[in-house]
Amino acid sequence: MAGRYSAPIAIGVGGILVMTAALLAGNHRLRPFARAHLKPLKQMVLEVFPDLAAVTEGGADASSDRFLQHLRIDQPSERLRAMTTDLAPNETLLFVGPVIDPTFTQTYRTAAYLSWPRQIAVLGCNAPGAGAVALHPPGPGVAIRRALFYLQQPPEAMAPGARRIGPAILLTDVSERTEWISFCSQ
Amino acid sequence: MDLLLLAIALLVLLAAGFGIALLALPERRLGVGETFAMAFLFGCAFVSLASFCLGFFFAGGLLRGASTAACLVIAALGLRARREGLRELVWPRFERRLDQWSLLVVSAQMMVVTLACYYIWLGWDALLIWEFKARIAFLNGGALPLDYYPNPNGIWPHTSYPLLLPLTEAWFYGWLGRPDQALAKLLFPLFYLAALALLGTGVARFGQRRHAWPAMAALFLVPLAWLGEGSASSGYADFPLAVFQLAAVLYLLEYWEQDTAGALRTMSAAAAALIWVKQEGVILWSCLALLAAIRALQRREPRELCLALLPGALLFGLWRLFLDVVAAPRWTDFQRTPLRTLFASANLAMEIGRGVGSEFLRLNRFGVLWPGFLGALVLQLRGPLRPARAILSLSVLLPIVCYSGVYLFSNWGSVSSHIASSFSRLLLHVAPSALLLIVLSMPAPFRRKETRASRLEQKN
Repeated sequence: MAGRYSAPIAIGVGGILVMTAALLAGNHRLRPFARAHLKPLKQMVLEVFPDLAAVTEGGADASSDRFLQHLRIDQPSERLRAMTTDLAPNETLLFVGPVIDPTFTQTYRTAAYLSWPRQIAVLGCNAPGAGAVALHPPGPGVAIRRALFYLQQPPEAMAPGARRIGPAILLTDVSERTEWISFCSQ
Repeated sequence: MDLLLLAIALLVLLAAGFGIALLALPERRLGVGETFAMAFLFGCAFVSLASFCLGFFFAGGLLRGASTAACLVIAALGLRARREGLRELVWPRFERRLDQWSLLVVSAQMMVVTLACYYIWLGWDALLIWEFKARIAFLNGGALPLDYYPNPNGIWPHTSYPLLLPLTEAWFYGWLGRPDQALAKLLFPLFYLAALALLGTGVARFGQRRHAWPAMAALFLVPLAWLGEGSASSGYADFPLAVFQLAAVLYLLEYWEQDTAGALRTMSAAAAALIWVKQEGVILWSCLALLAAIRALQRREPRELCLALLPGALLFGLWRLFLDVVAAPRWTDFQRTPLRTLFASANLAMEIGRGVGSEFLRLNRFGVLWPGFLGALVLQLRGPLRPARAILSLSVLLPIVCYSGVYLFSNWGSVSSHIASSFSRLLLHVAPSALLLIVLSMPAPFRRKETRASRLEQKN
């Protein structure tokens, strides 16, 4: 009898153990209990399955907020979305940031996701004097009306009008037609 | 209220899928699990195709109304064609203690998968490729606007990817009245449930019925099925693709074993849907079409074969034509000059071999699935040749060979990085079918006892 069922029972017990660990690691209500009593087990599980650490409280913008959490502002998705909603169809926002920063791509891609139906333009800046990388230029006939500086200071001429949105981002309106590559020049 | 609206959206989707399942599935008694799984898969395919086609003419409430009407019509057609199918549904039995324990484990894993789907964030591609399309479709009244596809400055990723998943998510958004990144993921436990039901059905039909519930429980021991990039909880299209692949494989096996027209018909429909889920679906469809063609030509049924290949070929051709018409840019992960690239990349074969080999042994992604699959293959070679099991093995091995081969054309600077970032997700496409083969090749002690027990049952 025992031999007959030993394999399925082992599978079942193993599965239940993994499930319990996953529950303790993944459910925010059970997390205090896990911290207090099963910390080593949780650490071990998270080491093997790091995705379990990526838990959310839910919500319409839960995932995009997570990709923008390094901006350290409240409701980052909502605030980035609001930056483009009042633009006319032939206007866009230029996203400017340091091309070598590991969070740069993640941030501008998420901003592009939030900006639909506007197609934002993206400019990657190198070290001062090393020029810029035109990653996603504005579409034909589209004018830059706003510039978002991520981990980057605006050129001196634009600095007075720039508003600080959070520790990592500055926003400025662009009133004149400006050569878009020049947003890095400093 | 949200859950009520989601339930209505799901019921309409299931009604359409149920209608198609009744029209397509083989003429025999149907299992409840099999019927649910196929109804859900066909429902997703139908709703997304209806949204895409009707989206050229309607938007918003009108589009939702027209799609709902189409779903109800197809449900009525299915019921009319096969009313007795409902009365003859086979319900699962839990007479053995092992089945009861396995049911408990399966229920627990469904709970964990549902929690994981709700609580774990959408992955990177899931948000920026799949959910993004769903959100745009919702904001545009249920279908993607034509000016999305050309993507003039290239800021939106992969606008030419197929639309089953995004338009199904948009269907739920439409009923919900708003996009919601967390609620969209509640679709994925249903894909997981469909995978479990199909695994159970496959084991019961081609192996020992008593192994069906343990096989379902064993899917949880493949971590990438429910956790990590590509899994059910990540919101990627890879796990849904794996479920469609498993469905197509089951009916391909039935066609090989029993030669029924219904099996070929269902395989054809499920395989065609692969093309509509993800671009790699074309490779999976081609492999399945090849295996079906061998059998059809053995039986001298070229007409049936052509009819079976038609839905997939038509879907592929029309989708490519549409992408050309709307000037959608194609994906650029692979180079476009095949022969020259092949000769230039031949020295990469070793590097690809090493990279691919190490992916098979990543225990935190696949557990012991691939060593188990290798063991199952060895067991196949030891005994007498069973065509259906050989076909099941080939339906796993052929895509793996093709997937490994395409890295010869990789456009990435480092092919190892390309493999590390994508190959495990590609392997997931055939993982449920590999698990099916493992369970069907259970070692002799289990099978011998079962045979004795079944003999006793037959005597009684």
